[in-house]
Amino acid sequence: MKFLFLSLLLFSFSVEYIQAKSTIVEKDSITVIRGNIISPNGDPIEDVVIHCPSPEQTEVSDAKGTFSIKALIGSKITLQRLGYVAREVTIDNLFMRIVMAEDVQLLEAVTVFSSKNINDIDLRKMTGSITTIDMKQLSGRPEMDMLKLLQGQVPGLMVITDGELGKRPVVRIRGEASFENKQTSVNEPLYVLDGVIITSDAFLALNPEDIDEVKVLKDASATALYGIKAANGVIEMTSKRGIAGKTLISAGVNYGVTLRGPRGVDLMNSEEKLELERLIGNPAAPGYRYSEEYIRKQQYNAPNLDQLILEGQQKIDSLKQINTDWFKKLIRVNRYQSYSVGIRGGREGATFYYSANYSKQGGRVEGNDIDRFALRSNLDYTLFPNMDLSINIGAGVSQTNTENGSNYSPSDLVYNLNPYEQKTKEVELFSYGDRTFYDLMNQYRSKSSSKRLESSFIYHWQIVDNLHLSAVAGIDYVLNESKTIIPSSSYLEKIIPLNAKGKLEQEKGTISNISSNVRLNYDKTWGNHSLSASINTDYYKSQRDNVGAIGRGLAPGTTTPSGVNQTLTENSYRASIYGGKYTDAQLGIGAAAGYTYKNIYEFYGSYKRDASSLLPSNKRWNAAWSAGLGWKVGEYGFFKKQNLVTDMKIRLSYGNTAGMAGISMSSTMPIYKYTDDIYGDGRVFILSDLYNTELVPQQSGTLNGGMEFTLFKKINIYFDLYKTRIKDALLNIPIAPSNGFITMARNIGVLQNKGYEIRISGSPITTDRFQWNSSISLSWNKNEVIKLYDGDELYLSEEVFPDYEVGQPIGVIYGLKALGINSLDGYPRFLSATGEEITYQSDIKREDFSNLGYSTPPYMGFFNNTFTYGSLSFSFDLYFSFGGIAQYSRTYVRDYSGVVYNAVKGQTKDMWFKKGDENKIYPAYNMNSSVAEILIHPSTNTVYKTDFIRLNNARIGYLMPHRLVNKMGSKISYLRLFLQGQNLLTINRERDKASLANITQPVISLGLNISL
Amino acid sequence: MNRHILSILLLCVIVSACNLDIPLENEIGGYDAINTVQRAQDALNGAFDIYPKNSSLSFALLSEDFTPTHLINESAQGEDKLYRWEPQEISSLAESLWQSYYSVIAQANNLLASEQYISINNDKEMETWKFVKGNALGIKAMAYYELLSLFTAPYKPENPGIVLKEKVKYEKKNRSDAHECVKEIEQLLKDSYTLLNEVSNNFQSYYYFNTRAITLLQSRVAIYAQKYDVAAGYAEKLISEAGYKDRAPNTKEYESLWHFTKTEKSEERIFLFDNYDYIFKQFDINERGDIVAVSPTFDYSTDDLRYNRASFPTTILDYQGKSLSVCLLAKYRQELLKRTSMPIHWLRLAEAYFILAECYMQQGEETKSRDMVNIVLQKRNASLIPEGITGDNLLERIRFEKQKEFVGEGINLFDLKRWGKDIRRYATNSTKTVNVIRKDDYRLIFPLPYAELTQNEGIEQNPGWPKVIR
Repeated sequence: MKFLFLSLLLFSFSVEYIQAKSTIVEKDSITVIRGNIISPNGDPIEDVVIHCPSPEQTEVSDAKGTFSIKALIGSKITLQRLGYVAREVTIDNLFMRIVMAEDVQLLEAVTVFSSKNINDIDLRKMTGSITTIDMKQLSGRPEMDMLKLLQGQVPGLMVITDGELGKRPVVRIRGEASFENKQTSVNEPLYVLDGVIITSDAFLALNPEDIDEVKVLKDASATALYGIKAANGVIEMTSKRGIAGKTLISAGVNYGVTLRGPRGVDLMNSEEKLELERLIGNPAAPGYRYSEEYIRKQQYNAPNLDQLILEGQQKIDSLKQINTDWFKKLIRVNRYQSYSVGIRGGREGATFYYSANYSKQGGRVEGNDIDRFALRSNLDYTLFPNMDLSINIGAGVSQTNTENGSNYSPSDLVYNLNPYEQKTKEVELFSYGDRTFYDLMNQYRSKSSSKRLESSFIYHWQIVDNLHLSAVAGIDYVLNESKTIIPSSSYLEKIIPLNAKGKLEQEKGTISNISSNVRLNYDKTWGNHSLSASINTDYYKSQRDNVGAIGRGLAPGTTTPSGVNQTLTENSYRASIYGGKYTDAQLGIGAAAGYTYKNIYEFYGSYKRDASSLLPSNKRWNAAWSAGLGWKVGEYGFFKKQNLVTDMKIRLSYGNTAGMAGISMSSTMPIYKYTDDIYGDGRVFILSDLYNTELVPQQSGTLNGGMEFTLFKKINIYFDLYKTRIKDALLNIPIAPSNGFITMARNIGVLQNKGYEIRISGSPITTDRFQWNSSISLSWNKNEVIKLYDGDELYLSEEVFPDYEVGQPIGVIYGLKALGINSLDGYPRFLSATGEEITYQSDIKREDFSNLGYSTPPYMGFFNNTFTYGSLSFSFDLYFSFGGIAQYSRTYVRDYSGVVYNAVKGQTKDMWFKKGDENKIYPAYNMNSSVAEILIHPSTNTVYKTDFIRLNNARIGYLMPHRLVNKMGSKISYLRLFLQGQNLLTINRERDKASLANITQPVISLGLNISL
Repeated sequence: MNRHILSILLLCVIVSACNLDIPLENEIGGYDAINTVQRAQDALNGAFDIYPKNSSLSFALLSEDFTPTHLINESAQGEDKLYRWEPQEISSLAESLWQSYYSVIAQANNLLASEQYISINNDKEMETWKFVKGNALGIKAMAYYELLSLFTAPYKPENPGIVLKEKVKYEKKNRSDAHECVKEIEQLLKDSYTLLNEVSNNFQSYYYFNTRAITLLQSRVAIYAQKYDVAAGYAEKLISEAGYKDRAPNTKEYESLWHFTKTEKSEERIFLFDNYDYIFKQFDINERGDIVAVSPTFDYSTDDLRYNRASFPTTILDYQGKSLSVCLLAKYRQELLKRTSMPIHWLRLAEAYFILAECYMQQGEETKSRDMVNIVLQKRNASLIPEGITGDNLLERIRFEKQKEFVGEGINLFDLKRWGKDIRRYATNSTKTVNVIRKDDYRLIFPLPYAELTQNEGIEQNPGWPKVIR
């Protein structure tokens, strides 16, 4: 080991020596010296404190290990960082490459203090599959939530976002961990901030600038310390800490614009639309209502028939003149702005980090926006040489304003409003009955805010040399408030009696989470042996408490419940209050141990038992255990002799975790509740679910194998293979309604996820001024139903094809083989399993439906690159996924009743209207309702491949040269400008015809970072 | 030393906070959750509250009560399709009814099964429990009766009936035959009557059953099962105990059926659900008029007390702007043509007279029969059935008068099916018959929901309806 370090040190000195020789050095003048600090194996080291005695200044290296300092050539600077051997270096070059060696002894001594998350112990790194992301690389992106930032950064982490502002993304680690794939929250991972479990809402509200590092834990031996709560994986975050030394102030401004993005479906212009309406012949649409044929039919005996026809023609002609582009009218280019300030500093034994951030994102509709203000304070104290304490406090306010509420989303309206309709207050629309455009918008006003306060205490105590205790206690408190007012002038209130017009809905709710964790660690090294052991106990309690009021007859000018009319007695208008309080708690005790022999062989095991208050006492305790092996092949003497493959390690682990997959207490025992209704003079009390006394928690067993190594000391390769089997998988499934309930929770079968993840990263090219960092990853997940306890197929709906089938993954899209539109009757034809033609009169059988593909793409990956040349940097991140399919949205193909809405371009040409219309795409508009049923199903003609490559992020950064910075004021030590674009380009294999909600809008932003 | 104290303190705080037996605060758990009479009363409210009490309008739409106006094309929830008896719409109505009736039955069964846990400490509580249990049995019987009427063929003992559920438990039970079902309903009603008979008048509320309500239900069930003597017996009992005090028309009394306060007494009123949802809202289109008008065949005279409530004359504009005279139903509106809700009566006294009249016809007692109907007609200030009408004409007239009395209230559908009569469908804004649902049409027997067929494999679908194809 020592030899390795020595050789590396020598190697690095030689690099410096070469550099010194190759560069012309100006002496005796204070210049800007820039440098790059790396570890012996080439990784950049951040947070190194660089001290220069004259002129007196202190700098800190950034995530890429770079720093710049004003100094005299030939003077000496000192470099210090916890865990590394401090160095003193003489400046001999304008660009310095400095290698800092890890301090092995120090590393062992301080290892327990290295992380503020007490579950983040070295032990689990032996065999666990953990991906670490340095948030510095993602900082400054115009994103308000953490998850969007993590998209395309971690192999095996799937984040599916939606174009809509403020909507929750779907997050999965290594596929669906239960059959319950329809509810987004059930298979979500566990979120942990500095060792404290936080809710997913709290996670989404975090300021990404405050986060230093994110770890994604994927296999059983990595997550085992969290027990059954971690059945779906864990996302662990560490917040930024203070650094002893000179106080650093950094500020950032980020200003961005969200563009409209691609259009989705091309729609008709007025001329084509009016023609379609004439052909379909629904008098509700003007194209037919004013047509000659309709007027002749209706008014055949009118004396002024010719006059009427002429008037109709004029009306149509005037409509043809209007061509409103609703996409441009409704999808607004909106703005994003963010301002942040951070202060880091302190002295030995007491450091601080404070930050403040304000950001505001405009919505697609005018007047609607989200803004957020967040504060954070992280303080670290060393109380005694062997004891330290950290106090973290975070507070935030976020507010969503919907000044202009509509019951229709702008994306619906874009496709529904006709091109001949206009944004006016006077003219009624054809598409929305007797409303004007203004009756669609401005229907309600709402405001919701969330105020958060979160605080944690983290404590470490080195009791004796080998034994230390750490504890964390945290509180996370959220106050959510929302208020919606429907003014009495709203269109929707037209039909409401006068004394009940105007509605107020107001709700206040609190969420408080208390969590604690105490861990005792023991480490001992003797000879070739090294042993670590740890025991812990943790407790988590979550309480939700909310109260709300709904009232009608809101007096104009008032906005509180006191303004509602409380004399209304009718059920639908009566003022009502509601509320609820839900508490659940979990208690866990666990032990883990790891043993290393000769620093080559590693053995790991853990066992944890967790109890949940949500389960009846006889089923309360459930276990999670794991065992793992690590083999550091790279440590063998013969291996060290070559430089081709280094740091090779092979990992293998297996673990088992129980889980409840979102099943609540009412599934296992009788639970009654009072509903909001009243009956007679009393309350209404009902049994809420049909309980299943035989229900048991599902058990998921994960086998994970992994390998990592470095090629040419430059490229890191990581490979993981996994297989998770979920036995007794839980699901709420339909039962015969004669039981009085329509669903019941049951253990239904065995589910499996298997897959692999590859990531190759490194710096393929590094020269003095140029550096290319790159990371490419591919992950594959295959989900499969292995067994169903009640037959081979499980039907949840009335479809003739199953929702789950043995041998198939969750999310199969079943469909018919399409034969096109029959030219005689305009009805679609399909091919049956026996090769016969299916018409609308045939009975469609299960066999006729085949598996058309999977809705969740099995392959996903990313290719992220950063190029640095001098003070310029350029980076781009590509994100891709393939192997999935989706059904075309048929929404924009209009039939008789739908023709009042705008239609997809080309429908007039491609629709069947009369006998002999050959090769049409869209069937007749006036089909029998049983055919319409068939058409809802996907078919080979109506699905498309969702494969795409997206330029998630592209960014140009410029670090201002020192002489320019100098001119602007001597206090500024660092100034960086960047221009970046997100979602700039998406290349789809087949054009996405789904709704606008699936389209990600590009964001272009300009940012500025300054350090003082 | 300080550090030890600090650590121990911290540990104490953390460990002492641990407790997993957290009482539920807005839910109540456990097999013995219903352990007081008060809770039992609340649970009874649960069973009544979830009863499909908005279905009366759907039933009325399917019967001959209405003719559609052109506005039916704008109906939001498929009322136009339901009016035409489109199979898909019937299926979805049937599905929701089946589910609702069985959830009522499950809540009632659960309440009845809790009897062992309920502590009864005094006579007052004993009386309350009798009231609650009697009502639970009654509501279960009513749900069974409506299920049987809708989901099975007109009564024959050997017909397949419905699924009878004794307890709240996951089961795959088959249909019992109609005879067994009727026997079960009769038993439930009998037990209910016995219990409610021991309850004092303190429990008088039109939102719950009393002995009169149970008697009327017994009479309904008996006539359904073609036990005319039995049905007549119950109806006679009801009329003799609390019939009309006199035959004089009383506007106030009739009007109070449709416009009343909770405490208002009325001899006609027997039972109605506490339901102030404006269930008629799907029927009226934004102040432009209703999607249906009362069938002109009923032809109420202007002197008839029912004239305003059953056929309120007004005009609506057609699509060409021409005004049409129509008679709209005002029974669901507290004030005529205003959008304020009014619960519809589920059981009222007039029905007993019609049941009795029908039974007398079966027994060949035409005069007695005509007289029974004339009592109601006289009460309504309507023209009486003349003595010259006899035989089948009289039977037809009695049936017609019953439909006229109960127009829009839903019970006509049950009668049309029981009588084996064709159901006419009219064109919009016209009295022209466009279609007829024949008495042997498969749609008259509602289909079992798909989920019942797929999750309860032994059960058989009613004839004519699609079976499970997989």
